[in-house]
Formats: sequence, C-alpha cells, structure tokens
Amino acid sequence: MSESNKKISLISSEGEAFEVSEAVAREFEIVAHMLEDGCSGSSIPITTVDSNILGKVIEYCTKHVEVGNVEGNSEKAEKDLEEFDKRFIAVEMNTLFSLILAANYLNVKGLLNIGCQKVADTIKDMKPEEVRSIFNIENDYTPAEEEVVRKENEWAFQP
Amino acid sequence: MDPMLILDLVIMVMERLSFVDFYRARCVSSVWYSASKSCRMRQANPWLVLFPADVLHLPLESIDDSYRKTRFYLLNMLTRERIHLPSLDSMESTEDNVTLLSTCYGIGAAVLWVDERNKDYFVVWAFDRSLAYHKKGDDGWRVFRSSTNQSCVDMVFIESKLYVLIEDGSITAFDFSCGDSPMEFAILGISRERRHSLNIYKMDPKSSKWKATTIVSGRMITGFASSILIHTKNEVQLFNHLTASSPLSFKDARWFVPTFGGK
Repeated sequence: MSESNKKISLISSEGEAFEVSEAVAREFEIVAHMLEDGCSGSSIPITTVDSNILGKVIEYCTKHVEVGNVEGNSEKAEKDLEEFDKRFIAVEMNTLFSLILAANYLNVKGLLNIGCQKVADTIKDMKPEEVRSIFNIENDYTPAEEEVVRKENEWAFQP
Repeated sequence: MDPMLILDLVIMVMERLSFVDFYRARCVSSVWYSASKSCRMRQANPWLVLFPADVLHLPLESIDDSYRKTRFYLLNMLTRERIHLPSLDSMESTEDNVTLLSTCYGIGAAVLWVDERNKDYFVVWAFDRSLAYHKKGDDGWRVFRSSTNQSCVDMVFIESKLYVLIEDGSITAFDFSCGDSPMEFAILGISRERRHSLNIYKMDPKSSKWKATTIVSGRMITGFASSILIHTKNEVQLFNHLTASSPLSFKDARWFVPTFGGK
C-alpha cells in the first residue's frame, strides 16, 4: 500500500475532523514538517482555522494534488488549474483575508500567492482612503505626516 | 478586527502591486509605509524616456553669470530629492582644464548612476575630448581622457565600468573599480558595414573581450545588465511602435529601469 493512500484527520478550530489523504495534507507545509519530524499521529489539530476556511483550503490542495498527479496533457491541465484558481479566489473580502491568513499559517504557498495577488488586483487604482476602508485600517498618520507622505508620492496620484 | 494588518502579508501584497499603485499604497498608513521599505521587488519593465525636441528643463541654478559658478545638482524628478554637485571651478586646474572650462558650454554627454540603497552616486560629463567624473565623497571633478584622443558621443555606466562611444563609432571602456583613477581596458572597433546593423555587445568579464550577441547600430542609448544596446540615428523608426503614441516630437531617448521598494 503506497503512502499516499494513508489518511490523516485535520481538526478545525471548532473540533470538526476533515479526513484527507496524506498527499493533500502535505500540501500544508506546516503539516509536512510535522510528519517529517516524526509526528505519527493520524489526527492533527489546526486550532487557528475554522471549518469553513479549512474546508476551502483542503478543496484547493485536493485540486492541486489531483492535477499534479495527472500524467501528460500538461498544458490543458495547467489552464484548467488557472481557471480553478480564478474561480476559487473570487470570494468576498472577509473570506479572502481569512484564506490568506490560513494559507500563511499553514504555509500553503500557491494559495498564499493567489490570495495576495487578488488583494493587489483589488487595490489597483484605489485611493488610500478606499484602501483603508476595505482593509479596516486606521489612518495613523498625523495630518502633517500625511501631507509629507502625500507630497513625496504626489506624482503617483496624477492622472 | 483587521486581519490584514500583519506586516508580512502587507509586504506580500505590496510586492504584487504595479509601480504606481505601490507608491500610492505608501500613503495608506505608517505600517504600510514601513512595509514598502521591506519589499523585494521583481525586475520592473524598463521605461523608454523620451526627451522633448523643443524644451528640456535642466536642473541648473546660476548664481552669477559665469557658468563656472553654476550650481549643479541631481534631481530625482519623482521624489524631488536633490544631490548637490561641486561646481566646475573645483576641477583640478591644469592647462588642459582651462581650455576645457572655456569650452564647457559644449557638454556633449553625461551619465549618472545612483545606488538606491546607500545613495552612492557617480556622474560623468564629456567635454569635447575630455571626460570629468565625480563620485560621492570626492571634493571636485576629476578629468581623464581616452587614449584614442577622440570625442565622446555617448556613454553608459554599468557595474563600475564606463563604456564610451567615440566619434569613429568605436567603444572604449574604463574600469572605476580599481583604485582612484579609471583604467581604460578595452576598445571595440565597429566596422562600417556593421554600424548599419543592430548589435548588442556583451563583455566577457574574464577575458575583457567583446562578444556580439544580436544584431542593432550607430548610437548607444543604454546599458542593460551587462549588455550594451547600440542603435542607429533613425531611432524613431526603430522604436516606431513605442513612440507612435507620443504626441511630442523628441530629440533623444533613454532607457530607464525603475526600481522600487527598499531592497
């Protein structure tokens, strides 16, 4: 029996168990390291990620493992995966942030990359005030400081 | 609650922004501003800067009528940052330089190199058959000449080496990395026929030999990585697809590779 058929349970913050193949679990680098460090337990608690988000991350990893296992026809497979990524990341902002945080914590590089790219694409052409409001960022500049920074980067605001 | 406030993630997002959006994003908050300084940017697309044919605003401030007293400075047009340069009368006074100063309205070509990180800079002017350079920490201008004794047409500075295109179409190279005075270390002759074709030459750093990699000609406009791009005087034709959208007529063009972020 090959190792990839071994099942591992990932436990969400609510205590819900998600059974996945070892290959999928290894897509979480944090899990891969735990397995390499000899952590042989078949259930791994992911205490900082809730069921909704953990389910999505697993969906992402499962798809990527599946496509990675298909031999040949790589161009079409790559295109399909791109399409999948595009659809997968088209979520509302709060979910997107949660996915990025989870991808960062679990160290799923591909997901982290498409998540950050999605945020960058969203920010494109936005004014700082708009960026602050969608990210819920407090403007911690004093009016004087903001004036200086604005002036320094003034050219970027010209049409 | 603001999950995006984790500095690492702000950095990752900012690294994926376009050049303009990156600078806009610095105005969001001080956290974003400091994040921008830790961004590791990918190689940006080079810009082709066109200089208008009619007006060119030179950053000169004359404090009296004499050009010798003219105050020179480098101006970063994006950040308005200034670096003051020594005046021309700080040049070592040799007989050669007296002539040089009297002809200095004929400054033919100039090149600037600035290190974004430590703000080291290097400036070279070509005056007729002489060249003068100034680098950060120097008191004034130092004058040197090519052994070919020909005028400079254009030049580029890459990795401590100055490549000078001279009148007859040859290129001579000076190394500034070894001590105080520049060392002329290679001269590349371009034959007449080859001048009409498009060549990109690359210097093999070990043997100091030139190697043609692709075919261009005539006038050197830029250096890119360790290559030198040479192109003909009919640059408008060559760059037609790039300049067609420009409403201005221009007299010169230069490549500029924007860098951003702190690293």
